[in-house]
Amino acid sequence: MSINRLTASKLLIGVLPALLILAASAVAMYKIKFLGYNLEAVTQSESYHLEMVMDFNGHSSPVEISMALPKSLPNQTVSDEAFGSEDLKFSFQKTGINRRGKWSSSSIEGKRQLNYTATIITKNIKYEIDSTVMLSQQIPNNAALYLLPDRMIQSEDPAINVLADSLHLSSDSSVLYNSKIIYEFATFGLKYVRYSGTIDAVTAYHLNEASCGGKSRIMAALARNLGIPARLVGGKILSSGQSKATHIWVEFFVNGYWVPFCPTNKYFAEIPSNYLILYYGEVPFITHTKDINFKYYFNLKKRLTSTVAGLNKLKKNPLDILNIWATFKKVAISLELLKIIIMLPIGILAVVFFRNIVGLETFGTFMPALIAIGFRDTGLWNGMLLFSLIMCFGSVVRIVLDKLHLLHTPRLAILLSTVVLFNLALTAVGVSLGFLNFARVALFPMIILTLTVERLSIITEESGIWNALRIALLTMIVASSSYAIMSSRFLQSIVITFPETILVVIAIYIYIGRYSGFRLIEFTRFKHLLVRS
Amino acid sequence: MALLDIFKKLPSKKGIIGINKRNLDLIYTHNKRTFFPNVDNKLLCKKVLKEHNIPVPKTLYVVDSPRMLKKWKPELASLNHFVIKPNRGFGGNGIKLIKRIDDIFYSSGEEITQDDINFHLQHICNGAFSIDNTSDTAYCEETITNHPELSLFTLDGQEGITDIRIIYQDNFPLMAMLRAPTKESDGKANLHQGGIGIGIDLHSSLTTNGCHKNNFITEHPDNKTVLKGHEIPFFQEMLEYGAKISDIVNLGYIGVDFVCDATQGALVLEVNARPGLNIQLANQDGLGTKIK
Repeated sequence: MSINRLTASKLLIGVLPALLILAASAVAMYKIKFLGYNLEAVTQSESYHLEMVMDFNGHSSPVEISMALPKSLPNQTVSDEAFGSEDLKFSFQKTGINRRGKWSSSSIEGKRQLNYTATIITKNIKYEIDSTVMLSQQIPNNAALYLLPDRMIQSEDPAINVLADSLHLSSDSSVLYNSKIIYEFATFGLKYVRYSGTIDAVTAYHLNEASCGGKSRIMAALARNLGIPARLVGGKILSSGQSKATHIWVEFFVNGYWVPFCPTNKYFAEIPSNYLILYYGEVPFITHTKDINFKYYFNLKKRLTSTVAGLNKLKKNPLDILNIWATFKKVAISLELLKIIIMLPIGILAVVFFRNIVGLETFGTFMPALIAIGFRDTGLWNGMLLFSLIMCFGSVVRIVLDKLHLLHTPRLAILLSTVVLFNLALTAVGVSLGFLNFARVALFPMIILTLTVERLSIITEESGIWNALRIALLTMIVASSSYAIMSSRFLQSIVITFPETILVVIAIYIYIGRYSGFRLIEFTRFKHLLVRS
Repeated sequence: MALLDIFKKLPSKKGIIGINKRNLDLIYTHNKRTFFPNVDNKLLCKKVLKEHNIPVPKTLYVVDSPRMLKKWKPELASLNHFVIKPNRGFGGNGIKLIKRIDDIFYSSGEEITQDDINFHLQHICNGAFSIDNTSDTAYCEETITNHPELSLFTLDGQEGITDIRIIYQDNFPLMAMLRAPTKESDGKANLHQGGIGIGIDLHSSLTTNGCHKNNFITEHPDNKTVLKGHEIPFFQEMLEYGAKISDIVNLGYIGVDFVCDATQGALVLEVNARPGLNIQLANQDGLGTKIK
C-alpha cells in the first residue's frame, strides 16, 4: 500500500466518525427545533397490553358474567379493545359512571374461556389542592350523592363521630387541612393487613387495622362525616406478568375535581402512573353465576405503544420513521418488528464490545444478538432457562445422530426438526400449566438454536465439554447484555424517535474497528510477558 | 476512551501484539483478501510451492468426487501409514493419522474400520471441517517420521509430530518456534490443544525456553527434557525456503509450518495467513520489537 493511500485512509477514518456524529446531531436538532420532536412525548407514559382471562365450566344451565371495563380518563387511555366470547352473547352495560361488559347465554355445557384485551396507557397526575377551599365549597348534585352514608361507609355511625373528634377534624378549617389529617390517620394510624374479604369503615376502626379497601372506606367515612364528598375507586396496579389482585383507593371532591388518595401505597392527592381505574363506588369488579367453577386472572405486558401515541401528531412529516412505517403497514409488518430491526444495530454494540475489547469467545459472531432477539418474547430468565433446556435436549439428540453416521446437511435438518418438536412440546406443557411466557418459546428462532446446538457439539468433540460449557456461558452473558440494550424502553424511544442515532453507533463501530490495543483477556493470556521487564 | 488508550499503550511499550493489533496492522495491511485462497487451499498451495522447488510432503490421494471416494481402498492398499486432511481446514481440525498393523487400521491408538475412514472422508467433503463450512476436498498425505534430533521432544512410543513455525513479514523472518505434542494434546502439536511451544533463536538455530498454555516452562511437562540449547536440524534451509514463500503466495505476513523428516529433511507442511500469537509466549518476547 502506498504512503499516500495510507494517509488518505487514516484521514478518512479520523474524519468519518466526526462527520457521522455531526450529521446525526444536525438531523436531530432540525427535528427538535422545526418539527417539534421531543423525547418526553414518547417516554413519559407507560403502556401495557392488558389481558383478562376468565375460565368457567357450564352445566347446561344459564350463565351470566359481568365485569367492570376500564375507560379513557384524564390519567388513562384505553384502546384496541377486543372481546373473546366463544358462544356467549356479549353486550356493554352502562351503570352510572361505570362501564361494564356482560357475557351471557341461556345454556352452556362444558369449559369455556372468555377474554378481554386492551392497550392501556396511563400517566401520573398530581393535584394541587387550593388551601383556601373551605368545607363550605359548592357541591353539585352529582357529587352530593357521595355525602350519604352507606352500608360499608357508615359516615354517620357514632364510632366515626368519635374518631373524627379524636383526630381534631375541624369544620372551620380548609379541605386541604382536613384531608391531610384523614390521609395521615388512614396511612400511618391504621395498621396494614391483607384481608381477602371486604371490611367496612366501622369494623376497620374497631380492629385498628385494614387492607386497601378498609383504609379507603375509613377515609371516605371521615370525609363524608365532615361534609366532603368521597367515593371509592377500584382498579388494577399495572405490572408485567400474571396476577389476580385488584386494588382500592379513594377520591375526595375538592373545588370541582375528584382528587385521588391512596393510603395503602402512600399517594396524597396523586394517582401514580401504574394505576388503572376500573370502576367507581362500592360495586363488585366481577359478578358471575354461582357454581360454574369460575376463575380469572390478568395478564399484563409492558410495551412501547406509547411511541405511537406520543408521535401520532408528528406523523405527517416525511422524516418520521413511523410515517415511513405506516406505508409498510400495508404489508402487515408490526411495530414490534420495527423495534427489532431498528434496535439491532444498537444491540450488537454488546457483541462488538465483548469481542474486540473484552475478547470473549462465543458461538458464532452474531449468534448472541440473535439469541437476544429470541429472549424478547420470553423475557430474559425464562429465555435463558428455555435456551438451556433446548441446548441439553439438542445435545442428546446430536449424540444419537452421531452414531447413525449421517451426512452433514441431512443431520442438521433432523436436528432442526427435533428442536421444533421439542419446542412444540414445551409450548403445550406451558399452556396447560398456565405459564404463558413459557409457551412463547414457539417463537424462539429455531434455526439459530439448531446451529448453536451444532456448534456446541463440535466444540465439545474438539476441546471437551468444559470448554463448550464455558463458551455457552460466555454466549449467554453477551446475549443478555445485548437483550438489555435492545429491550431498554429508554433506548427504544430514542432510536425510534431519532433513527439517526444509528449513525452515531456506526461512528462508535469505526472507532472500535480501529482499536489496536489489547483485548481485556489478553492481559491474562500474556501476563507473564507483561511482567517481564 | 482514555481507558482504551491505556490498553493500547501498555502492551505496545512492551512490544506485545494482541489480536486486534495483529489483525489491523499485520494481516489486513500485508495480506490481501484475494490471495487468502493461495494458502487456505492446501493442495493448491502445495502444488505451487512444489513448482518453485520447495519440498512438501507427498500427496497420496485426493477425494474430490464420489467416484474417488469409492476407489480409495485399492489406491491405498499398499500403504501402512497416512494422514487424512481437509483441504480447506483450520486449526488442525479434521486431521486424522491412520496407521495399519496386520490389516487393522488404528487412529489415535483406537481401532477403526474402513467404514469409519470412509465416513470421515465423506464428512470432510461435506464441509464439516472447512474454514467456511462449504463443501471441501479431502486428501491423504504421507506421514512424516520425526528427525531423530527432534524426537526427544515427543513421548516414548507415542505418535505425534513436532513442527517448526516461522513467522515472516515481507520475506523477513521475525520469530520461530518448535511445537511439540504432550499427553494432554493427544499427539497434536497445536498449542491451544495443550501442545508446548519452544522458542528458537534465529541466529544460532538453538532452542530457548518455552510455553505451555499461557505459562513459561523450561522443561517438557511429560518427559522433563530440558528445552533450552538444542539445535534444530535443517533450520537454515527452512529459513531460506520460507523467505521465498511470501512472493509465491502473494501474502506479506505469513506463518510457515515446517516438518523435519528423518530422510527428506525440511518440508513445508502448510502456510498460514493468520498465524497465531502464542509464538510470543514460546519466545518469551513480543513480536512488536521485531516488526519493521
